[in-house]
Amino acid sequence: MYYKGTQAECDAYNAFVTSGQNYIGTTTQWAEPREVDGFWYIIKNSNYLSEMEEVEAMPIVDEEIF
Amino acid sequence: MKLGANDINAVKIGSTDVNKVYLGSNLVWEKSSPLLLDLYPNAVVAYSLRQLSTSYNGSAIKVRRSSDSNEQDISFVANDLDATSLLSFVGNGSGFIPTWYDQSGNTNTQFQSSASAQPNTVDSGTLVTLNSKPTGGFGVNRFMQTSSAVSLGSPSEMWIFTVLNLDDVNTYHWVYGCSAASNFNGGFNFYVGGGDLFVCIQGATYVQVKTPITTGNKLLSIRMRGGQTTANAVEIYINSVQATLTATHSGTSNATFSDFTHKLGARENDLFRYIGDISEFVIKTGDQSTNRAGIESNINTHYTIY
Repeated sequence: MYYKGTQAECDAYNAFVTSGQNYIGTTTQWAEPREVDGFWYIIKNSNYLSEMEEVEAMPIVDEEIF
Repeated sequence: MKLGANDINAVKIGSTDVNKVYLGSNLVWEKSSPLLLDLYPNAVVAYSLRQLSTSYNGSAIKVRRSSDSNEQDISFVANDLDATSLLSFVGNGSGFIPTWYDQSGNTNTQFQSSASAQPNTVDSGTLVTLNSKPTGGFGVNRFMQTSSAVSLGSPSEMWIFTVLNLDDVNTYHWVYGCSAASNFNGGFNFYVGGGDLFVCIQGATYVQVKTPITTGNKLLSIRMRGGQTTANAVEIYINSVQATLTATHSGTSNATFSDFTHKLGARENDLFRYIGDISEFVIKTGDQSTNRAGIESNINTHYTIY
């Protein structure tokens, strides 16, 4: 599952989870938010809830494979 | 097994080597196989959850445990991943791989600093395995990458040897990406989708071939040659059998292979992430035709893929 929102909302969610998880060492964050068609997405951590819209998956990026 | 303080390296009955020794029904000694890179040295990158070289003294992986986010290096015992230490460290939670060390000696280690994208090696207290051997579970959203471009030395030929479990062959997903979004001449990619395995050598005119592939455990050997037309640029061996290839883009492959960040489980833009498990991934430069069967035999002796 993913959360869909603005870049600021996804960055805030990433910071929220990262802070809560207290990563030590080489792991520095929960996830990298990604932009698709003007919306931002971040993978959901089921232990940390957000008011952002929840979606099953990120949209498939419409680009040439090769 | 020891005799006094001495390790036993060989057991014979008469002049015949014995591979296993049992005490009752308990296996107490097993002849160790020669290590892959001792037999076939000089890999460019070498990631595995078994030890590949006696000259490599580092760890196999760094593991992050889900219970408190602590990380610990996990090494080898008797040439295999130290599963006892791994399971003890992780406990009842899950273990993830932020670092997969390169055993080639070139320090082309794979990293993933985002927790959600790290492959796993322990799932709820249980070792993630491929044919009962430890593996890296890439799921559907995970990948790793080198911290900088891998120095290849401009070779005109490259070989990939890998052990993996393909969970899905219809969705397009990358096993290995080595290129850039622009100026990608000399990059290469190896991916799965639509029921086929694709290999692409990028350049001013690039070549790409495909061959049908099924889900499940596979030992793949891939030969890529620069400066060749499509018909001669790529060879693919699936479980040691040479595959029949179909050209999906014809041209002449770039003369040499170039230095890019290497991504295990994603293409250059971090998308199309790999769906399955990877146990071993080795790249060698130069012609390995005469070594191929021996390399595959060494790998298959350990993983029993075919």
